[in-house]
Amino acid sequence: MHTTVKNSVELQYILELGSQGLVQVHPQLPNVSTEECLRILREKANAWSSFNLNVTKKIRLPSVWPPCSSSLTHRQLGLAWYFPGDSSYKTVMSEVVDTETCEPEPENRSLCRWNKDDPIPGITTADEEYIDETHDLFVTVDILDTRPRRNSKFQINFRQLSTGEERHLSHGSQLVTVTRPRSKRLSSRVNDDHDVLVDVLGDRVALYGAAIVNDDYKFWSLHVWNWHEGQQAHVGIYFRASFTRFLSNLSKEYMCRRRRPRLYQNAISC
Amino acid sequence: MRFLVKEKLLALTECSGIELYDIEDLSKAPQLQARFMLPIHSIDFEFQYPSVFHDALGCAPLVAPDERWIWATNPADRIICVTGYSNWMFVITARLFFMDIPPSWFNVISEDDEFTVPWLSWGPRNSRCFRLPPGGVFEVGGSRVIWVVQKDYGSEVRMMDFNPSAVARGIGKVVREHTTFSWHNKNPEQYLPVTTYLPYAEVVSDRTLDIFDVKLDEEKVAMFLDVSVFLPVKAMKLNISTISFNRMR
Repeated sequence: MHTTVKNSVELQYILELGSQGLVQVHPQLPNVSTEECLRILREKANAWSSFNLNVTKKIRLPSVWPPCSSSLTHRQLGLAWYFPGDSSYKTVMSEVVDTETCEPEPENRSLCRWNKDDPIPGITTADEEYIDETHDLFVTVDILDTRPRRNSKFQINFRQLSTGEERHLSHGSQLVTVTRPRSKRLSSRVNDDHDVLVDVLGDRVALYGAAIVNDDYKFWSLHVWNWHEGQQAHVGIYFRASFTRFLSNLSKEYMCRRRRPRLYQNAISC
Repeated sequence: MRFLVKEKLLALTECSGIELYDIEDLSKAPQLQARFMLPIHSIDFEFQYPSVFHDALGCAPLVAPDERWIWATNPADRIICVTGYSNWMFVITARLFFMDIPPSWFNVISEDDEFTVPWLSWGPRNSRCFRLPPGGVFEVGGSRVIWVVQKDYGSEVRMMDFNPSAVARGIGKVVREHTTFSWHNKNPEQYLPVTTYLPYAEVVSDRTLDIFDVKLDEEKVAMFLDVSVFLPVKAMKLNISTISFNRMR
């Protein structure tokens, strides 16, 4: 067995991948051999073991504020800022920088900025949004005012993060209806509140929508569908009154405030 | 609520459970597979792990022509983090969500609660609990966590690798022994011990820089540095360093 592995670069490559818990997600470059791939993998494993951090690039951000969202994939660093602005619009700013070739100063890099208008009357934009800088995706959810108030409607908007324009794959905004049980028809005088959570992975989107009428009555549903195909499956799950559900936006906002204590120190010094 | 992979969705509930949904077949409603209970109660639990998805179409605009790094962590070998009140952090191996759950793990006491997996069935061996120091930041990437602690001289950067082979190879300091924290519930005199023992290997690097955020994948680490405290307001900007490793191409 030892000799078989020793004499086979391919076997060593497979074993190295398994050992590091990695899978190959893209094809090898034509000019890169399996032996070279093996060398890259082993060198990287050694680098992680030694953990000697060497700065290879420094860049300056275009804002005094830390990005509200950032990601790192395929050596591309995605950065996004979402400024509340005044009552009429919000400013969305983003950039994707190649960490090996980018210019260090922001004025020499391509920066995207646009203003997001407030929704029209009868529509409330939820605090929840999904941002994917490297795939140029900005997803927001509007809560529609419905009459009669038997159901709750959520409109999911798929935009380009860089421009604010609609993503062509989404076939327009998509609607999800959270249906209220027939026995729970409400008077139009009763105020209700909504919770929304949204997440995206590739062509899939998941939406959790909940309506909270009072402390002892809420209903919700969970929907997952392919947003590239434009049709959301009308298959939510479960309605349960008096049952605690997914964690809400309120707690997430609390976490955001808590995780950036040093940001506020800087703001004060400004 | 976060995707784990395209076929699996995780959701944190207000009753401090991690719900696992099967979403492979989009023509069906999401199917609840299990509800893994956490040992402490918090209404502000939150997932902390990057959204990772690779396919030829989606990655085409991202991949540089000379890019040689073509790998990602196997989904089952990743870790996810759940953070919550008072800086509690649970590092959980994603393998838990890919395994066939032994029937004996489920709560057999209540018929109404057939999906619930009590903490003691799954938690201690599949997770590691930490308490982050105030002001500390951390980030998850693949099977690793980078944890930055502010010091007088700058920052202490800890890298913890939960990959079993990194642990077996004895990289840095290997931690196999259990850790126990005490959680006090509503009664301040009543403490609940939380014991976990998912093994990991840890390496520590000291930096003289003030680091306020970190991003990482399997190939690189990016550190967000705050230089504003050293500069006049007019020049106040945030600085970012992208950091790779020795002998890297």
